[in-house]
Amino acid sequence: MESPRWHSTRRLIAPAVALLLIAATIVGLPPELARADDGYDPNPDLPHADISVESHGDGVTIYIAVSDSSPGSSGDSSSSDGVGGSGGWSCSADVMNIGVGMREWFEREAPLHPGQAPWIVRCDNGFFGVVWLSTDVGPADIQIVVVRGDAVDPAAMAAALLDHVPVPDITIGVNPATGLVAVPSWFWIEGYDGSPIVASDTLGGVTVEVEITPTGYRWYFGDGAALETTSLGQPYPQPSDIRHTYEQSSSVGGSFAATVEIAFSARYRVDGGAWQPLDPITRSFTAAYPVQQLQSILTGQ
Amino acid sequence: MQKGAVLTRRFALLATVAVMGLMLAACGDGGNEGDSVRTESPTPAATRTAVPEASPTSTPSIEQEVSEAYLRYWEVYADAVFNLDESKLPEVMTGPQLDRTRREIDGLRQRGRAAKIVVEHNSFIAELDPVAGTATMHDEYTNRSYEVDAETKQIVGQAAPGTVLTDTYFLVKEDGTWKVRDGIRQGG
Repeated sequence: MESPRWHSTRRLIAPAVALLLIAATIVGLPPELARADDGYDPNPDLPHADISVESHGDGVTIYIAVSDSSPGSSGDSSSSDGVGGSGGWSCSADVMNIGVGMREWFEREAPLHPGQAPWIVRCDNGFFGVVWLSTDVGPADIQIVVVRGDAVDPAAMAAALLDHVPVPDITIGVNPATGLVAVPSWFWIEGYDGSPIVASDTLGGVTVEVEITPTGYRWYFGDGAALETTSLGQPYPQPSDIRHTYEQSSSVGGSFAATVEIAFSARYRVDGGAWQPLDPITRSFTAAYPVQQLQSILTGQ
Repeated sequence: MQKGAVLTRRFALLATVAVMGLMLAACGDGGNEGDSVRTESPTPAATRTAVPEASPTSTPSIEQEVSEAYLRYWEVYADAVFNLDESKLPEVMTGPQLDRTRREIDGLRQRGRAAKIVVEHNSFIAELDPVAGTATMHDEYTNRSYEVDAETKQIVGQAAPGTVLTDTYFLVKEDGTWKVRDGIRQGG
């Protein structure tokens, strides 16, 4: 199905092409010029490799994504810290020593990269690349990771990322703190407002985002009863719609295991593209909940 | 990263940049140098070449040799893919790059096409080892090349829309002549 954005883009493209054809006719441009094509890349068979930089709290990671046509691509993926390394590729990154021969290039490029300095990345099998890194970064802060670009599987990345989506540390709120048989207990979720949770990762220049959204909450009260809701409940003293009345007490000194199981729908996208579905996931959180039997004391008159 | 280390590093980098700036100012030549070099086939436009200056490990003539060899490589390459004539390729390239370019020309020929190379260079010598006879040229060039009919040389399609291609070329000195031996494209 075409997106509304594409529809609107196409509405703009069609008149533009028509105008271009008319203009070409009027000014006498060669008709070939009006045809859409994307030019010619010199040396189209040159080996290629993607290089990308990801900044994080510990420094930066330089990813080199190699393909079958990359120099030395038969080597295994590997990583190295700044200088040296192991595996099939041994790479290093060095801040560029701006000699006079590269003066003009530096003067042109530096304004495009404020607060950054150019670094040269070399690998012993011939790879060479230039990246711009923050002036805060030193050699010890750099890790170089070589991955096989054609082996970067976004779906696999998304699946791996799904296991590490930072679901908040949810707790179960309940009132009264100690339940009473035949008296409704109110439950709710604390520490999470039900909004979608997003995680992302970049590998070999491919950025994958994973988003999970809660679709339902299944409550298990520990005495065999269960309840399914789409609500997080309401914290006391507000009346919560998640209620349960225990018919028996927990064992003496013991408690029921009150559990909420949250079902999340999941999806992912690659480099900001269209969202694609992932298998749903669930996360469970449990709290111990003691329930007592009210004792009636009869007093004689 | 520790803050002290960061500050020290920042100071060192700032100092380096300041020294570089002073060096660059001292090396100014009155604005005669252009900001890029343009290669076009089959009649290359007048080019203005940045002339590298001396470094402790090489002489100006060697760096100039490399720069000129690199531009010469592009001129010969541009002529070859425009005229589908491989005869002069060995003068400027060798090894894998020569094989690659021959295959490229063969592919164009089979499709009845040729290529008009229009590029504006933005290059520098990244490495130069006069003793070993090796050099690395990094080029972030703007590409406006297009295909032409092999016979009529009339344009087919449209010129590339000024895309920047990032290539690194590895040169070797072979029988006294600098030649492009291999290359790699960053991205793409």
